[in-house]
Amino acid sequence: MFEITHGKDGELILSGRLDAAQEGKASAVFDALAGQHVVDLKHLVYISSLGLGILLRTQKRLKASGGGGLTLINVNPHILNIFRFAGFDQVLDIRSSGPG
Amino acid sequence: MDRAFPRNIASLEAIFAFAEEFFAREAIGPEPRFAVQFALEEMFTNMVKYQAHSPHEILIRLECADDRIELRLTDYDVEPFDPTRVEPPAIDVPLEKRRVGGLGVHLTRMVMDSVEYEYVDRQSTITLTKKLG
Repeated sequence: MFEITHGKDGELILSGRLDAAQEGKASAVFDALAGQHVVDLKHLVYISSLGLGILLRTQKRLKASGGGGLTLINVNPHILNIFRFAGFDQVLDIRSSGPG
Repeated sequence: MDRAFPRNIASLEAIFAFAEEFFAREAIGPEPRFAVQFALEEMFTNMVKYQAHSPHEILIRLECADDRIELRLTDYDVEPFDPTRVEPPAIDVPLEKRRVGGLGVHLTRMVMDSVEYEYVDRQSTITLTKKLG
């Protein structure tokens, strides 16, 4: 199961498993973003290259249009590992803890 | 454990359920679970995308041997696709030069301990291992 909801401060909350079968659901939300967004991954347990591609594509688009881009918070250690192997720590604001 | 899956992204749900059965049976911890699921998805979706013409199901085998998990995907009547020879994407570049895509095979090689490829009689076999402990 994969869900995207909105938190009380406007952040996006991703829950469950973002695998290749979730491309439509995830793309619809991320492709509609503009400016700057916090994305809370506290309840995200799994991500594959499809999800990484959506995050990178969104970050490129937001930054290219002068926006602040994505801040990923509450990233669990397995996903943080994948982000580092993918070099995402160099191009995205990634935090293993909450906002602030 | 062996099971064959239809060549479709929608098979992922059943593939992950199959992996869960295996993890529970072998009492596998969280870190190898993540790596094995990741490798399974990336290798399977590559076969779906790049070998779409084959009418055959894709065979997945999961085994625990000594101190490692062995994962094998077998794809029948296909063109060769050797994941061990895929160039890693340029990740040490500024955001505007980062290419979207091409990460799956690279990350699979990073999270697994070995990846081997064999192509015989139009049959592709990818064997990956993940050490335990």
